[in-house]
Amino acid sequence: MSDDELIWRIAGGSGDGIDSTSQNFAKALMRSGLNVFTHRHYPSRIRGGHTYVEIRAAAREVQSRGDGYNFLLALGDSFARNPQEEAYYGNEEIKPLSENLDELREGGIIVYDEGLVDDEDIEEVDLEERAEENDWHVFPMDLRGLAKEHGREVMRNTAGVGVTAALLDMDLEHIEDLMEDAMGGDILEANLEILHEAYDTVNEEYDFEHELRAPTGEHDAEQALLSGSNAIAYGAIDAGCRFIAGYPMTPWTDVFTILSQNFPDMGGISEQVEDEIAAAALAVGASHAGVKAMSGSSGGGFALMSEPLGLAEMTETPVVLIESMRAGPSTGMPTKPEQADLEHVLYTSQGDSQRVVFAPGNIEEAYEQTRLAFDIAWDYQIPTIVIYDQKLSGENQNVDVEFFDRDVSPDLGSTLTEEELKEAAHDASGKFKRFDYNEATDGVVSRSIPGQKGGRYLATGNEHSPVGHISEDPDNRVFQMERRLEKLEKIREELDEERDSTQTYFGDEDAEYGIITWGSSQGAVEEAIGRLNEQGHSVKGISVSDMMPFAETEVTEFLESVDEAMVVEMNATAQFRGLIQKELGRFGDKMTSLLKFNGNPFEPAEIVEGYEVNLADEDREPTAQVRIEPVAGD
Amino acid sequence: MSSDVRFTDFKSDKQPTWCPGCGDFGTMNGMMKGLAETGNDPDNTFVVAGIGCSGKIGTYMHSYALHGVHGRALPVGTGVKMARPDIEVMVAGGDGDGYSIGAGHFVHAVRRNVDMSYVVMDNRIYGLTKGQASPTSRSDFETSTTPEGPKQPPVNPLALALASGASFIAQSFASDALRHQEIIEEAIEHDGFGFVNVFSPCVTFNDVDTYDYFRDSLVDLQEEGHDPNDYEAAKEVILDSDKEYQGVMYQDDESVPYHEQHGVTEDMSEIPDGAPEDAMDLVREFY
Repeated sequence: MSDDELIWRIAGGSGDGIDSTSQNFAKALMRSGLNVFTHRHYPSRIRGGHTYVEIRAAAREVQSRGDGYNFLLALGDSFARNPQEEAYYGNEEIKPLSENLDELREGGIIVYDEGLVDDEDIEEVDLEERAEENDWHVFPMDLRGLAKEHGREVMRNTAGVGVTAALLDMDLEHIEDLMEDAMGGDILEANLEILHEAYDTVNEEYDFEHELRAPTGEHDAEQALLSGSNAIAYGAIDAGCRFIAGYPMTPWTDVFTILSQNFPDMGGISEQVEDEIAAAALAVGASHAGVKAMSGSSGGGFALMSEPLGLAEMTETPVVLIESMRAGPSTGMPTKPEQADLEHVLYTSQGDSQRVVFAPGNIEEAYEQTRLAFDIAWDYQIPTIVIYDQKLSGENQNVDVEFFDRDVSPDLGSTLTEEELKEAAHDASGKFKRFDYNEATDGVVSRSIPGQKGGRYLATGNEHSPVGHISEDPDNRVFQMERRLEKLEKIREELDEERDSTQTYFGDEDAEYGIITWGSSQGAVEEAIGRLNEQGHSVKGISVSDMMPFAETEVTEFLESVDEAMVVEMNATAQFRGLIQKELGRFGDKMTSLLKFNGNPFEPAEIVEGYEVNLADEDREPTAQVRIEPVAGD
Repeated sequence: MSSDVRFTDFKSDKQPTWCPGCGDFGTMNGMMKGLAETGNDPDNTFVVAGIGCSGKIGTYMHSYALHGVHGRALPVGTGVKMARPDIEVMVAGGDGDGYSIGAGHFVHAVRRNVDMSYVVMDNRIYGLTKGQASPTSRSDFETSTTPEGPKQPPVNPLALALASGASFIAQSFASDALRHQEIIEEAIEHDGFGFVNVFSPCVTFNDVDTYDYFRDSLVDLQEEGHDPNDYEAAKEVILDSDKEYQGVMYQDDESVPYHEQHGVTEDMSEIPDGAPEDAMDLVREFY
């Protein structure tokens, strides 16, 4: 909980422009040389309802939303204020202020739009009393009135940013530049006027008693502010993917949108189809025809993809599917993160799973593992899934632009040319032996692409003979099944021996206490481990990405090296710990779980506390809404 | 296209396991002849089928083929053709595949107007699962799972296609080999989604919609002087539930297929001039 960081929370109603305002403010902080991390909290509705965005900014690296926050800009919910809509939205105009007070740190700043909040509402939330108790510095400002005076009422966000900059003693340069990038003409002029007016008003009318100031820092390389969704989309682009079919579903829609806006320009195709069955089936068809193709969804839509996923497994058609998790079961909590679809993606669809699953834990990993997913899928002719969640999807972080300076890889993997097809094995009737187990290398038989001379064959979801004909011959069945499963062993070997590890490690190598996590909980775990070690504990961590084939060797080595381990994940049934036990068949007595499934991601302090509770070995319960699951058998 | 392709080039060495006398023999022959007659090369042809008796067609034809998931032949075929406009794609299916489990896909494949043909072997019964009612079975058709008949009107697939904005709607009869082949050829040559519902009688489980029934009741639209470009006339024959028609009911002569609407190029690995080429070109926007 360092003082050298700003965690700015802008709160209001959905549809009030909070996203774009916060995006630009985050960029301004980034341009000033700080590292930034943004966190979105929003309801599943288009307008109204309580929503906020947090921006954490510091000179050092920031890997999570942090613990609590120290600056609140409460804009007021304009839709709640509209009397005509009150019946529908309810009287919620106080909420951006009242709903956000619990997590505000001591000494924090509150700016609220007094133009949108009534005095009696303020009395009801005991603001004065609480401010005194917590040493909060409260600045009621008529943001709406200020905006109206110089432009239009909707520009009150700009006034809020001006007030923020003044209170934090920030230079306006970057904020102005970003406004000039985004708008022009009268609108730009009015906004600039409002910005300056707000800035000057604060400086002229208030004495600053608060200590919080914007931190200062410097970047040594060009930066870009990106989300995990951007990273996945760009990983697909650089992997040479040019075809996406999808159906909208939160939070997956972000990736689908980014690629829909880019593929057509690049000569590719994006098609919104009737449902997720069709989405995955179109991708299988396109891939089969020789184009790198993908689809994706969130849990509910991914459930519909089970059949085409199985078809891709059986026909050995490469395809990449993205699964962006949100809280379930069923519709669950559509705009809230959870890591509870792990078993779903590993095992959905009938028969033995023959797929690859990667779970990136941060933005860089999201890019790299999406590319890896395409490489593996096309080399081994196997469906590959990238699983992440609403948290990684929507959080923005600054990344070195140079990170993306890579070669693109449009290569189609294990395919034959027409020349090679002439030499390949055919049956007496001239059918290409596409599934000839005698010709396999690492379980893979190179494929032909429709349109090639001499490459004709039947691909079928039935078990099939070497030329692809339906076969229920027991020997053939065993040969084909073992050949397809051999690919997973070979992929594991390649990942262990030929590529950089996709697992990420933190902390003291010699530590005897370990924290294991996966996916987007990585950032909070990394930060918690750093904090614990600073406090004199000795803890190390591993964030696992290879779910199938499982990172067996690395996780075994990690667990062997510690006396105890805590598995941190956002679900209620400890799915990842279960996977470790299933894959490794031991260590059940070493692992406890720290679980959170209330719809909000872990904060580092909760993990620190989980460690303390675990280690203290007493009956103390951790913070409400975080659960400890004891070791197996307890 | 090579002109010396014969229809037997589309034939596999696998003998069909359909019941002797099954309508699917005639339907498939017409498909192979139609493909050959319109100048298609088997190496450049992709046949997609779903599940059921019709689904096995990929085994009996010798082209590139995919025998997929029940009801999902259309989306797979759509993906193939979108990605590769240079490939001739023919999707085959049954009435259960297309109008029941895959009905949702049918509506949207019709709307999307991808330049491929869709041949439905309609026998008004589920054959491979041994005789249950299908979406085109008559409402009083008694089967093992509908002992008193479905008691629901059958789907009119032609009307469903028309209401979904189809650019080509036709119907044929597997036993009228010549007309069936002609109609298939028209569907192949149509610039857009060429839909043909084929009466393909099941000799084992359907004793109502038999060869004799169709032979006796079928009215040929060509002989009636029907104009397929006339939407109103098409509507009339399609909604006429008193008669069974064969022929092209409707053809939109201004149909623009998907790849022309969307400017899809034949080689997707070529990035057009001025377009972003990789992630580096895109991330700088986010400064």
